[in-house]
Amino acid sequence: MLRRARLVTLTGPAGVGKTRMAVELGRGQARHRADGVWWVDLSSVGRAEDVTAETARVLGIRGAARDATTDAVRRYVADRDVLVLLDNCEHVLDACAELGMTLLGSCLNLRILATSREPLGLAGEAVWRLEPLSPEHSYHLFLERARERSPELVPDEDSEAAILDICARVDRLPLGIELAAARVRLMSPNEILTSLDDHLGELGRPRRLTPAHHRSVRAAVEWSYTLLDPVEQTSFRGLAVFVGGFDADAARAVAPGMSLDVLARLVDKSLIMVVPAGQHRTRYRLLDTIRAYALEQLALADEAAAAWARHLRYFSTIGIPVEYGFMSARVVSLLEPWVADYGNVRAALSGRRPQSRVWRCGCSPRRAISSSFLVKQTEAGWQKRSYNGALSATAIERGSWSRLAISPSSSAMFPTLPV
Amino acid sequence: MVAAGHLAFQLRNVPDAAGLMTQAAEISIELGERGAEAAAHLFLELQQMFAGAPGKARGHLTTARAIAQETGDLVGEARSTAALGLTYMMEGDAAGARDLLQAALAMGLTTQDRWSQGAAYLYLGILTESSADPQAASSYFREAIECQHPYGDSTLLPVALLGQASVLVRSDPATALQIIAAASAVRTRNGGEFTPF
Repeated sequence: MLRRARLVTLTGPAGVGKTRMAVELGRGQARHRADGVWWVDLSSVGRAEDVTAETARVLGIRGAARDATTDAVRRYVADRDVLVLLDNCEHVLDACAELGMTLLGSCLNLRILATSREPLGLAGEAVWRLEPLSPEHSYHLFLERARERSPELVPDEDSEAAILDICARVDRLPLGIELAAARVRLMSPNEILTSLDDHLGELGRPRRLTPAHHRSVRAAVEWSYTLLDPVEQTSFRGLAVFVGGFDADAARAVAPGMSLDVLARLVDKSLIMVVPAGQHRTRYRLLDTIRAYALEQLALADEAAAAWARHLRYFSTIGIPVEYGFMSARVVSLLEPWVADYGNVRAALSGRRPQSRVWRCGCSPRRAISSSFLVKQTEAGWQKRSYNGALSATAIERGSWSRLAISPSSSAMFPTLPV
Repeated sequence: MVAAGHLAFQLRNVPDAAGLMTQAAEISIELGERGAEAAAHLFLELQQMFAGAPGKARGHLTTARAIAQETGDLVGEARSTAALGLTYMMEGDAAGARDLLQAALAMGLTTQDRWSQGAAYLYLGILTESSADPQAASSYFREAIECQHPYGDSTLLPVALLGQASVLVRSDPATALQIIAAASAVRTRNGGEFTPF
């Protein structure tokens, strides 16, 4: 399709594997595109006007300029042979359509592959609607994912039937299959089926106004969550506040009980996906569907305000000494490690979070933001001044300044996805 | 928040950067943090310069300089004074610009602040070049490059390098080309397609 159409949009319900398919297509295209394939994850983009800015960020377009960002992106891709993956367009559909129209209209070698629950609606757009897998394909996907955890797994006749039933229970949607298969190290296929059935007995009941596919994916996520131990559950829901992903340091600072071990277990259970971000860093993120569920659980546990406060505290340790000037090499290198976290920084500073007016640390978010950003450095060394002891302590403990040597992340184009 | 504004600016998200800096200035007033307020105004000034509005930039710089004077921050005063000189220069008031730049240079030398010295030398170089005194201009540009080199700033250093190249291009084109390549390298490394003049 990408040979015939310059804009291809993968559509389909949540959990059907749009992102996974797009990434695989991107991998396949990488050797055919002289100037690369770039993955722009829009799940963290809250406002339409930020779609272009996020695209520019991923393409590595930096620095101050007089011209608008759209022009900068257009000029950047004008003579380049690139494929841009715009992932998760549904909540900023019009902005994606506008950007697509502008770029495709003036950049002849550009191809765009978008994923969205609905098409962008542009002339010339080729729409590929992904449907749930066939019984045979869903069986093979389960087996493939299960063998990544349990290579010795050879299903007998009973197990084969159980696997087919498991796939049917989750509507043969890849995300549900992935979550179920992630349990094979501890449970046989028959046990997984029983556990899922017990759970779906409650959750699988039809709810009005809920699309069937959405219901089954949600049920699979919920089932997977209920099988976590209490520490894993707490850590998992604490991750919901991250916007656009996080690294291990951030996860440990923000999610209660989080450790590398817990992080690894949540990755193993396919609740977290791994996103390689350059040579020296690994980032993680929750798929949209999973994050939405985690946010619900966070609110139900009455932990949202505290989680956002920790998130703010962590991302407010960013600081620039006045002595460094404006666009100096030192400022650029100081900020580069935070580029991937721009969504988090904006979310931390925005007043749009739920329950953001009152904080458990006893100060208003405005004051918390203000005081935490008064972390300054002189040439002689860092000197901190803060109105809030907790913020100050965090800045010391985190040792965020050690991140200065980390290289840019623009080379990381492809995530490792669970489905 | 000032740092977040820098980050937004680096990512070319100018509306975000402006919003963050405006908020930073407001919050600084609320908290009585004059230094942070001045830093936010200096940044907002830069944005106005990029937008080609020296008059608006001057408003921010006047505030920043007043804060620096009030708090006895001579470095801040030197930097804001140099930038103020630039706004006059951009509006064609060479005499007003020169006075401010000389004052900024004196403060920069007193405080040994290489940044403000570099900015003042650069703008003096441009002023002098436009008054057809290439030798004096070259000397200013050389000083500006020396002062700005440690910072590697993509807003000032490339301009100083290009200024020097423009002086040398007739007498020594090979060196001029090397200098242009160096300016280009700074921009490539630190971003920015900033052409202030």
